[in-house]
Amino acid sequence: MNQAIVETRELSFGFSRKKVLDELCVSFPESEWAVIAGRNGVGKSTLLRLLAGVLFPKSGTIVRAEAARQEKIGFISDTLSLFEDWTVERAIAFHCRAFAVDRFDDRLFTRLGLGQTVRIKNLSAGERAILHLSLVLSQQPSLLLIDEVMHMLDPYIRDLFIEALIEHMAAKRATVLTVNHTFSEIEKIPERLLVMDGGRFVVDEPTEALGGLMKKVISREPLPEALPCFFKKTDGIYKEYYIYPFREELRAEHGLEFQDIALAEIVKAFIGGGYEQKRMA
Amino acid sequence: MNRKEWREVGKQFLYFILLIVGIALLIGVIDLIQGRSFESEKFIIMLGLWMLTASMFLGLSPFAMDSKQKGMEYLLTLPLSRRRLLFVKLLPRLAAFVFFYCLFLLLYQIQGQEVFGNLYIFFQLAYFALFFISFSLASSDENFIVQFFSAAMAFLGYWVLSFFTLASGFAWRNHLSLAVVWRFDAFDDLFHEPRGMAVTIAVFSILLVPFVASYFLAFKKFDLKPVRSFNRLQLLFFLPLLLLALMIALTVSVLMQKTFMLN
Repeated sequence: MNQAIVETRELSFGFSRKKVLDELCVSFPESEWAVIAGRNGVGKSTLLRLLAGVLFPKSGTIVRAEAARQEKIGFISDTLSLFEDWTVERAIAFHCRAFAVDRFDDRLFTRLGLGQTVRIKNLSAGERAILHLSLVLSQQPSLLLIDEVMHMLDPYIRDLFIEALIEHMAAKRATVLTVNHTFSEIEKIPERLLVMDGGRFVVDEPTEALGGLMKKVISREPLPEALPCFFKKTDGIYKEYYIYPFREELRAEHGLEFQDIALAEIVKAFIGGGYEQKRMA
Repeated sequence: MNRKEWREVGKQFLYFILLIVGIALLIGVIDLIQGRSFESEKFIIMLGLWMLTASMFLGLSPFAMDSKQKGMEYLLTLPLSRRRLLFVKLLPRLAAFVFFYCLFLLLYQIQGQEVFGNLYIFFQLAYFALFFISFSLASSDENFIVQFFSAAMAFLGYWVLSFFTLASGFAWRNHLSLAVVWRFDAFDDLFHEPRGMAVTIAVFSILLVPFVASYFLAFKKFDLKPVRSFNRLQLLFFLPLLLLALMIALTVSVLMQKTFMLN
């Protein structure tokens, strides 16, 4: 089993009286790509910021391995924060000095045909995301934290982005944590899915296993109460029921057609279930 | 990071110098038009006022540009401890602050030795206090104008407290009530003789410590939570430190002041 690169122990955090993370305990090993999903405002970005050292916990601890010391953490926030009046050249020079980077790899950046004299504020979101990725990869990070940027990217840049991440993971055994809302391009890539709700992870499963743990049933009639229905969409004539956790015995017990579903739909069901529980609470 | 800060302060420094030159030119031109020789006293007074403003501006500026350029989050991901970050911010500003002070001293000696008269020591104390108080409030709000007013109010409070401490010591030593202290020339003269000046400087300096110390202590936990959260933390450090500083300053004021034969 790989050593944990970063671990949280009863991590709690909140803004004013609003509790965002509630005694969260989670561990991320080396060389793993984990995706964190959840409904809006549930604390995904907050968790990444805590891991990156941008925020301090209210209580609990974050334990980082030596390999994940500050200069080896690459953080790309959803705000793509950089000094906007700077040119790309100045940003690169500053970043390399700050993180003691010997050589800046501009392959990714030059593939977009961008010059280094352009100001950060004049870059598009996708171009800024690629610049950020180039900057953090130049640090040779052991831990990459990427917050909701992929949806900003056009399909070509998104591919470049993902390829660069995979290449880096393979070369450096880096751990990648991404917060995502879209999964179509990375369906088969992440090894682990975590869904956050109520300040904790309600789902923490290998993505390969999730396909076997959640199935969908489409039916005009309500399902038996005995079925563990996590989330349902009951608008329309044909209703969709998401069964979690699924067991093979349920096929024989109920004689229903349990359909396999893709990762994107699994995540949607978990998030939808979270909204339903919030409404009912 | 150092280079970035020195560069930023260097730019501000150039603007300040240009402003000084501009003030001098303006006064020179006005005097020329009115057929007078260059009035250095006027220049020194204007320079003094400008220095106080610059002191405040330098103190408030550490994170102003970073905030404006939306780089705060990036700044906090750099491999620097919070304390080191604060020192990196402070050092070039302190250097500029000291440089302007030396420049002013030089110009004052050359041009207008008696311009400020009895207020000279207070001008210097105000210059130092404004910088450090403003620096201690550099993270108090995201809006520079609000920071400016907060620093001005804090400075006024500090000024009143310092005078109160001096007056209390004087009153105690001379068996007077606080209300009547101000009537005595001896209290006024306090600030013009060496021992009195020493007490004044000591009291004003001691009461400045809580501002700076509370900021350094609280900054260890500075992050991107709403500023009121940081302000609350800073206040938690500030209030007991202020109480302690007040007690020490009062003690110094009582022990060090001369006893006068008062009519």
